[in-house]
Amino acid sequence: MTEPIAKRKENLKWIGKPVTRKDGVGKVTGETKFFSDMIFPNMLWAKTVRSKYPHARIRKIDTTKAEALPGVVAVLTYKDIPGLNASGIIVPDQPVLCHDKVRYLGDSVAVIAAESLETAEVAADLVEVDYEPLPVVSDPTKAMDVDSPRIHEKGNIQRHATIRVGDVERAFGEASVIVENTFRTGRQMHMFLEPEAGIGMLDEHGNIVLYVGGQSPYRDQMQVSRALGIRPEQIRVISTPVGGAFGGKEENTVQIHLALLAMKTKRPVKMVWTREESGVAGMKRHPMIVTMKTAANETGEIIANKVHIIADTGAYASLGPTVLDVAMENSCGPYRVPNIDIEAYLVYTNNGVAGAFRGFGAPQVNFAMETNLDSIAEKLGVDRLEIRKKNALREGDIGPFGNKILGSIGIYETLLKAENCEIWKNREKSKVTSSAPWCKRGVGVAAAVKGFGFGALPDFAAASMQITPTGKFVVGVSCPEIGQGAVTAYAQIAAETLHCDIGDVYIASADSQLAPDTGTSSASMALVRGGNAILAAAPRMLELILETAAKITGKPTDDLVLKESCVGSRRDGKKSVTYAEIAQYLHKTGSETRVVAGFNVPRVEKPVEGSIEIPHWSYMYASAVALVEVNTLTGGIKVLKFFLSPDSGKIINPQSYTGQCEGAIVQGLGFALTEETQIDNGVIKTNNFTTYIIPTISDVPEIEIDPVETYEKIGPFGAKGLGEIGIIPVGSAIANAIYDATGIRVFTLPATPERVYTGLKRGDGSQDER
Amino acid sequence: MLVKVKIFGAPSLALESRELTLELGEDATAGDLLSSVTVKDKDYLYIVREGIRLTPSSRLRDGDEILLIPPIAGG
Repeated sequence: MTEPIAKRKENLKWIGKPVTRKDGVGKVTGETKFFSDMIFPNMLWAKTVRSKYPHARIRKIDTTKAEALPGVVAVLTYKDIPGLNASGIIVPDQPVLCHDKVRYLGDSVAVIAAESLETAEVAADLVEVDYEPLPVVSDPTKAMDVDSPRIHEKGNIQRHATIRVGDVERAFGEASVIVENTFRTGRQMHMFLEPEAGIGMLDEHGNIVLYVGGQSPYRDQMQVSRALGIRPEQIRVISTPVGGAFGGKEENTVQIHLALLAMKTKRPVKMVWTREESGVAGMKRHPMIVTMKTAANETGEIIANKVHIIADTGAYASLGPTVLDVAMENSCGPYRVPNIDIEAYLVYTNNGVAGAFRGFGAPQVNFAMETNLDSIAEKLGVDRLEIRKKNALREGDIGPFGNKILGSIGIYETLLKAENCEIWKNREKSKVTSSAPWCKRGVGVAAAVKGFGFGALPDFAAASMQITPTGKFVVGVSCPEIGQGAVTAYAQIAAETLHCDIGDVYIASADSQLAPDTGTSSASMALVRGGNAILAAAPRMLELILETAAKITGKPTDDLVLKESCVGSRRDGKKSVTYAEIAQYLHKTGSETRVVAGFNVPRVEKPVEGSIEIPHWSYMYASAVALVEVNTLTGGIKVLKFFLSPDSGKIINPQSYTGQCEGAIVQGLGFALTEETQIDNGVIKTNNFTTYIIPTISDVPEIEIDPVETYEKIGPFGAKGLGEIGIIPVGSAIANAIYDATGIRVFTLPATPERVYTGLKRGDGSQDER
Repeated sequence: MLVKVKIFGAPSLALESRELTLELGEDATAGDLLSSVTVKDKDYLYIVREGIRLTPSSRLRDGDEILLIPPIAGG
């Protein structure tokens, strides 16, 4: 059997090359049709009836008037759900349609299908729901009180976790410096350009077909199957194209409602959430309150970290339990910390729903650790970058959880890159320059870490390969392209391993009928999952090709050698048979033309006590440097330059890599400076682009990306994940730059002008609490 | 045939896998295996062999190592 070339590092034709994005032209020219653009014949429009209260008991639901409206085809309530009335991949605690209680304004009470969107909207207003309002729980700290009104029967604390290694109290007693602060972070919205949307219908066999942009067709299939009480095989989910996801489309959004309506009406049904609806009902980043006490010895070595985290998950758990794990795992940064004491709570409130969001709990705690480390450096008179280098994890080190880190570690090298970047080298010069006398400039540095994949949780991925009658390849990978360049990277890996032109590879992605289960496009793992699955399938396809070539030519397989889209002879050096000839032979003889293979994702078998998925097998790393200017009259912040050095292993496609990093930095700017969903007593106040401010092109600084390419042995061609690491240090680097400019510490993100101005006025950095 | 099975619990409950070896008939399927084990919410467990999800009708092979995994997602 021919071995794959996944371990090869040189003479690669496609890997490491800036191959043009397969999905690029369609998206930039507007030719790509998203599901929210599509219209099917005889299609109905759907609308969700949402709760009128953030917290209320439902006494009665009356759909009579809505059903009587001409043009209304179906009005469904909880009574129409044949299976489990719940969604949530890991913790199914969110009703598909509420029957006795609503827990936030986004809760669904009924869904309507009508001949027109306008009719569906009118009908939604005609559904009469008799509510008994309940006290609203909006403060996560008060929600934890035993006498707080209960949002769920089991209480408001969804998860309480503690992890202890070593003896922090003893270490605090021996410390030269201790810094303790409390940090707050905002409820960031994903604000993808395409809100939650899709179309559901039945095929000619009566099976359900869902066209819904999402992050995993198979997880959607499972949730729909569970709610409708039918076999997964009866549901086909097509999850691509996706108009942005960032974690916000990992859970069920419109899928189950569309499946229910398609089953009921037997017609195509389309649902597109409005921007406001997306704001009210969609996922958010978990706001966190992090109290961190960090100690170091006289040389700046971190000797202890005590962390207390309260994460507001809103009305339902979603992926909050594992977000909490990632927050705990990242709370000590990419550093050696021998003594840790982490206590974390995931708390229900009536504040929307929080779930997966790029970084998955890491940016929040990174802000705390990186700020404390800056303070320690200052107190000890140590350089801010030197203290990070001193504590940075190195190959072979034991991590904060007592585990030996198995993957490649490039954090030290990224810090060296940061040390040599122009912003850092010119930091003193930058400080004496500004655009106006009342503006001050400063430079901040931060380092970050995050595991890719699901850590100690079991995970797997498979891919298929089929040779077409013309000798080209259809490669099935179910991880959706969500803007990260995954499909192009898959094609590069397939072309490299199959010895063919990249134009001869078609990636059948994100379709549960066309591709086996490759898992989710999440956890910065789509490249590693899909890439390794392709690498598992390729030897089987090559074996098929060689065996067929042997049959055609009559030569033994050990005389045959793979060349560019053909098989040659070792002895005479001539081309023997082309892939097209092999394909024709296979198709003519009715032979199998498709192979499927997979792999179990390497993991640490036993999680750390108190955790779900800590530790990960391998981690991504990054160092960041920001140059900011603070307007001391308004508190306004302008990020002028930003440097990022990620260690995401070997780079498969430099163009996609740069795009991922730049996108992460800009999304991080929003987390750092402007993005915060305001919720007042359970009512969202900022649910569209006019009130919820995301960075625009005028806010984007000059960006420099300078990667460190360590070789990760469990990744395809040495690659790791990339999607999340870039965002994690952004807020921290900017906050530290604000301090460098003004002497005012930032303890709350986003660092809005109001907060910075208040800090400047008070002179002590304190800011109004939200 | 002898089949090795690793059963994983709901992630929020028990992470350590339970391992057992089952003796099944020569024509046993993944569905037969599932019927032979006591596990919660088995209808939604993923039956995985060498990284590939099996359907209930998939034929098992002597010496297979099968993972029973609850649906997991994350970041």
